Amino acid sequence: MVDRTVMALERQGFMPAPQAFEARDSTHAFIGVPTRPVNLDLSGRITGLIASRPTESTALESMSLALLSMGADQGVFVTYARDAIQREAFRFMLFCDQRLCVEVENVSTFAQHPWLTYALGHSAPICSSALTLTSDVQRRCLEVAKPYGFVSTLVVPAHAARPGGRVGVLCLGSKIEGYFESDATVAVRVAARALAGELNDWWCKREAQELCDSCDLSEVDLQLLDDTARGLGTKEICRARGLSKQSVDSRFQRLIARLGVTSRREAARLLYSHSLINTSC
Amino acid sequence: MLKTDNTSANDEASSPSSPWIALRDASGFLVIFVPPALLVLGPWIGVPALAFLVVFGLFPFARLLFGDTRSGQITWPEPIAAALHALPLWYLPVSVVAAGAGLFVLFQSSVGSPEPDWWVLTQYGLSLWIVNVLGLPPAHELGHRTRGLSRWAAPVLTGVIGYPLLTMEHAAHHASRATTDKPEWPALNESAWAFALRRARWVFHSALEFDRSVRLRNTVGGLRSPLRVAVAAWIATAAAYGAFAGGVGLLLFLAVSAGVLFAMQLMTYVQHWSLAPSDLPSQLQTHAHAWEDTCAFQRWLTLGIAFHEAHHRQPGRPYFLLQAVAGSPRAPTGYVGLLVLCLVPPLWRRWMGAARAAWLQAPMDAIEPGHRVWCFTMPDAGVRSRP
Repeated sequence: MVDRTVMALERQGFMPAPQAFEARDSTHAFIGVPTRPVNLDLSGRITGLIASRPTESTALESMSLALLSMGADQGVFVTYARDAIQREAFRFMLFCDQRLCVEVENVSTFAQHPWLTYALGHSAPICSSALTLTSDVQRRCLEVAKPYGFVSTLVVPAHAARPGGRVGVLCLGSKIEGYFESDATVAVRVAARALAGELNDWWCKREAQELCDSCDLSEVDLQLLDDTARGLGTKEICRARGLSKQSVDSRFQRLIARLGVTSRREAARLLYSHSLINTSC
Repeated sequence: MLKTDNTSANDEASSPSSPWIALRDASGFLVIFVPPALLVLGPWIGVPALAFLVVFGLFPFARLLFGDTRSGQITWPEPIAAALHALPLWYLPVSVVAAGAGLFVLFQSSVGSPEPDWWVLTQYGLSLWIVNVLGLPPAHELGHRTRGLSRWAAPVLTGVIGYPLLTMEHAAHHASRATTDKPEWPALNESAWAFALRRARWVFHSALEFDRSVRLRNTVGGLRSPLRVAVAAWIATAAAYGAFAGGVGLLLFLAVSAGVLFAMQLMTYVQHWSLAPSDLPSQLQTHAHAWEDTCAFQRWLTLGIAFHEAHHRQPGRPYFLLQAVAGSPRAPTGYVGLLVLCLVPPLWRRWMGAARAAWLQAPMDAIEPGHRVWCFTMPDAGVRSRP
C-alpha cells in the first residue's frame, strides 16, 4: 500500500519513491524503542498536499502515508459536529481494520468514546494512557482498540476556526507499548497536529459544500444571511439589495425551513460555522 | 459551487404558508397545555381523574376531527417560528404550577383530612401520571437543544415530571447502533413487558455512562452534568410533595415517577418494535426506521414525536419542522391506542404484525389515517387490509 501511495504521489510530481524513504536528514528521529524510521519532512509535505483539496481516495492515501512517515502502524481520523450524538454524524477515515468501529459500538458509542470526548474540550495532543477515565466502559473502549494496533495511541484534536465548527481527532496507533509516550516523539506530535488540522479543514470544506447542495443554497441566500449577521434588518436589506419586503421575508422563511433552524440569526450562525459567510452574529 | 439564484426552484419546492394557515396550525401546539390545565380543573370539579379520562377517552378520537398533518415542506413566518421555538420552555413553569395547584386543590377538598381518601388519591395519581408522561415530549425537545436556557430547562423539567434519566439515556439511545443486543431497539418476538423491564434496568446504567462522557468533555460554558441537575430537580420535587402533603404526597410522587419510567420504556417499544436491521430484509437496512403517524392532533400533542423516523435522521431539527419520512412504517393508530395494545402481546403481534406486513409489502405506499381512529380491519395473516 505504501508503494502504491508513493507512486500516486510521484505522478503528481511529488517526490521520487526511492528518495522518500531513504533520505536521512536532520528531521529524522530514532527513539529508544524499536520502531520504523520516521521521516517528518515527508509527512509535512504530504500534509501540505491535503490542503490542495484532493479527492477522497487521495486524501485517504495521503493520510495513510503521512501516518506511516510518523512511525504509526495504524491511524483513524474522525470528524463530527460539536453537538452531534447520533452515530451517523461521525465521519471516519480509517487506516486500520474497520472492525475496530464495530468493536467500539459493542462496548459503547462513538459519542462516548474517550478519544472523541477528549477532543471536544481540548486542543493539545495526549497519549491515550494519560486520559482520565472514570468508568469501566471507558477503559474497555481503549482495551478493544489494542488488538487492532493501538497499543500506544496518540490522540490529536483539531478544531475548526469558527465557533460551532467541526471537531476532528486524529488517532495514531502503534503496536509498540510506550511508543508515543516517549519524549523522543515530541516532533511527531507537531507533525501530527498539522496533519489533523489539514484533514479537519478538508472535511469542513466538504461539509460546507454538502450543506449548500442539500439545502439548495444560492449566492443570494448567503448575501442575505451575511446582511443578517452584520445586523441589518429587513428594511435595510430591502434597500441594499433592491428587493421587496415580501420577497425578503418569504426568502428567509424558506431558508429557515431548508436549513432546519428557528430564526434567520440561527441560520447565519450555522453558515458562519461552516465558513460560508464571513460575518459572525 | 453555489447557484447564482434559485428563486423558481424554491417556489416550486416550498411556497411559504399563508399566515392564517400557519397561525391555525401553530395554535394546535397549544394543546400541550390542556392536560396540565385538566390536572388542576379535575380536583376542583370533583373529578380527580379528569385528565386521565380525557387523554384516554377523548384524545384518540380527535383524529376524527383534525385528520392528517398537511403534506409538503413546512415553512413558518418567522414570528410564529420564534413562538413555537419558545413553546416547550413555557411548559416547565406551567408543569410546576399545575402540579402544585392540583395538589393544593386536592388536599383542600379531601385528602388533607386525617384519613386520606385512597380512591381519590389514586384517581389523581393516574391524572398526574398521564400529565407527566405528556410532559416527556417538551422535555425531549428541550433536551435536544444545545444553546441557551434550554440546556438547563431540559434536565429540570425531566426531574419535575419524575424521569430525571431522560436527557442522558435518550442521548445514548440516539448514539447507539440499532441493535437488539442492547435494550434500545426491541426485537420482533419481544413483548412490551419484557422489553420495558429490560430497558428500565438498562437506562440507569446508560444515563450514568453518557453523563460521565459529557463530564469528560470539559467544555467551557457547557452543562457539566445534566444528570446531576435532573436528579437534583427530582429530589427537590419529591421534597416539595413531601413537605406539602407529608408521606402521602411523597408516596404519590414516587409512584408517579415509577409509572413515568415504565411508560417511557413502553413508548420506546411502540416506536421501534420489529425495526432493528436484524429483523428487516436487506433492502430496508440502509436507514434506522421507526413507526410514524401523520395524525395532526398527535403531532400537536407530542410536539412531532410521532414523526419518529424523521427525528432519528435529524435529531436536532426543531419539532415544528418535522414531517413523516417517505417510505417509513406507519402505525395503525395513535400512541394512546398503541400503549394500551402493547400491554396485551397476542393482540399487539396480530395488529402490529398486520401493519408491519403492509409496510414490508409496499414501503412507499403508506396508509395515512385521514380521519380514521384505526387504520386496519381485523387482520388475516399476510393479507393487507384497510378499513
